[in-house]
Amino acid sequence: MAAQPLWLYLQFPQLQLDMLEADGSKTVPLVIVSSQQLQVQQLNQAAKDVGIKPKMALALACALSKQLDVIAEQTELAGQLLAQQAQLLYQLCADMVLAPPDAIWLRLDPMLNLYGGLAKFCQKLRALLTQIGCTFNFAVADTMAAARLLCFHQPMFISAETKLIRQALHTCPLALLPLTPNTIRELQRLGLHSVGELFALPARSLNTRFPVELIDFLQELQGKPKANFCYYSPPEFFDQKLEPLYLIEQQQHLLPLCKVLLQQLDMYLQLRDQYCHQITLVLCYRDQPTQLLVVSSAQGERQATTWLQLLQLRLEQTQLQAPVCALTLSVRHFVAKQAETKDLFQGVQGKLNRQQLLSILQARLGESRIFQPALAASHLPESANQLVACEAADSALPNSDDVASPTLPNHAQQNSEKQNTVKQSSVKKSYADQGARKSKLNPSKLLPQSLSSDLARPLLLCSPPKPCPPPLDISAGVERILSPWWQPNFEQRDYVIARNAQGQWCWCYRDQQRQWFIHGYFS
Amino acid sequence: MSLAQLKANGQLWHFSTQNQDPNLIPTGYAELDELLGGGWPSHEVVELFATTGSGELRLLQPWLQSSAKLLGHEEFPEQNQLPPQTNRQLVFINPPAMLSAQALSLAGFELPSIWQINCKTAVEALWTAEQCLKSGCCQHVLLWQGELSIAKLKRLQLSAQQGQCNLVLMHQPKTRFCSLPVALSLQLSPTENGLKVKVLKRRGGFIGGQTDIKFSPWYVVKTTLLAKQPTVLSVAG
Repeated sequence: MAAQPLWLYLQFPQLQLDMLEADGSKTVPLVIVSSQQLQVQQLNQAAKDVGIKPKMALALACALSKQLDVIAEQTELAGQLLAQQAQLLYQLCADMVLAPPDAIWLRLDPMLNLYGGLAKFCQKLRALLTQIGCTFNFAVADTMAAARLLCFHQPMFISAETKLIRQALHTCPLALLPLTPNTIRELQRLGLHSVGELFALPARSLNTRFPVELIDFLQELQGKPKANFCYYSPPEFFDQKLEPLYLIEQQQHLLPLCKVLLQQLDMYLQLRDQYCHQITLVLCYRDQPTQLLVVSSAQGERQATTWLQLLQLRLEQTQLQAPVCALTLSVRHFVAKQAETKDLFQGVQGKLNRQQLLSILQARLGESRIFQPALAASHLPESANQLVACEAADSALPNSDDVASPTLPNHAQQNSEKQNTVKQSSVKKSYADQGARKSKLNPSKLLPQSLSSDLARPLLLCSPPKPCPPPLDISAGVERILSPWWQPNFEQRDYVIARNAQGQWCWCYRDQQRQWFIHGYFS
Repeated sequence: MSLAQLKANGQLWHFSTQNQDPNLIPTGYAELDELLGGGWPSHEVVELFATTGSGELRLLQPWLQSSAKLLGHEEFPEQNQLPPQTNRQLVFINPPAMLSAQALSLAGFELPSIWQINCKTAVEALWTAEQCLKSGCCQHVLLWQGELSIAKLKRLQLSAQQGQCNLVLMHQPKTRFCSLPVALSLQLSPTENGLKVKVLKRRGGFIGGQTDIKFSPWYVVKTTLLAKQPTVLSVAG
């Protein structure tokens, strides 16, 4: 049994209507009309009671009821709704093929072992679809085409037995076949009325008399795989849209809709065992551009209630620009459950590691706001002391290649050649990165010979240096630092340690023009 | 409620027993240890009023460097090679100037464990401090921030306890805020070659005590140089 394929064709005859009636059935007759042919496509119970039938012309339907609500069929919306259904059904069945505009094939044979039989699977499927509250038809057969045909001929046909499936197929009227009307009329004129009669004819004679589509279809019915189909794969991101029937003017009326969306998100995340740090609510207005509300949480969250609280806080601060006609919830980034590693002896009850904290900070502050001091081999204080923006992926172990002879005496000169002498802003990023990576390895190895413990360097550096009056109280000096002579703006600086009237320990220098500058504070 | 209960809750205490608080971390300066009754409080908020550049970070330096070692090495001397994750982060939020990598590495800090975070607004800075404090991966957070409300300070205090992290609030001197419920508030004023430390507030201790701390000079070798060549620098106009 396992080797034989088994397909279930699930059709949603009135997706758009189900969505519109989700918030309680309407007593007013409502029809959904195809905009090209002006025919009734979907209709609610009230419309049926009045006497309106599917495929009825719009004018006739209007004549039958005075208070008829007419809504145009939206193919784009139907596609979205079908995708939503597929996303839900993905919980039940792994292999699915979408059949737009309104149906889905589910491949059952790999799933039957999991559910313990066809009947139990169908029971689960029914329960799920009833819970969603949509109208559906389905049928099971051993080929895709047969399942589809049976769904129209004998809705709710459930059997895995080839014999029963054949019997049901044989009684199927030809009018239901997905063929052109011409072919069907031709067949009927020959006195053929059911699929069984068609099967009884030799294939060769059919081949000569009928177009190739009929032969293809018959072969598909008998098990030849469909030419091209691809299995459904769930979307990478979460994107759900809700369009209420009415315009919403007040924030608190948005909350119930948000709750529905957040519950869907909760389920989505739960199935993937993931969390998210940030959700985006997009409010669509009729005339104005859409408004984005971004809500973030420092800790990865999943629960709808938690997000709803945050979103409520956010909505309270927001002014709606106009009545809202649709809202979309989208989430782009997901995080895995944060693993907690605890040191038994240290007793630190922390929740995050360094990388997680970094990602949270970067999410809110921006990438280029968290810096790490880094050393570079240079004599100039501006080049030697750098601040490198932390990168999210800097946990990777540095390459051993980076250690290449950092202590060579001329290394400092080579490096400082690459950049402008004194302008902090012109430090190239690549160079700064290089310096940072090296410093992570072993700062003491990198230090030039001269940077030994007898150097005094201030902890806080002013960049750029601030002009100052000549210092009176000089404690120590002089240290002369020259910028490389081959650089265009050569500088010679005499550094001293001085105290000013406020008692600050300043690192001052005098340049060649005898101007004094404060370059840092010994904090 | 009985006296014993009040004592157990910490609502009532004897000054004489305060010195035995095991959670105090030695400051590295004998005079300061004496003044603070043993050392810095742990997982608390400490407030410093000091002029930038008067040596305030130097006062903190032994504390900033010691804590990681104290937690692991002393109790388990056989596990000398502690895994690197015990190096918790040291976070500087909105420092008045750029941190110098040279000075930090000369002082013996591990550069990768230091972050400087520049926030645009005070709200962002507070948020960042809170995240760092409660993350559990930071050892110290130093925050340069203007006035704080009591509610915000309480929030930071709870976060610090949650993440077992120390928060140091840095203020300019002579800024007088409403008295905040911090564990320790110190006023630092520069002296000839050191700092005068005055206790403005100390939870469970006397206030108003003060002491002088003498630093070894910044320029151990340079002074001798200066003595040898006094003519190199003449103060020029």
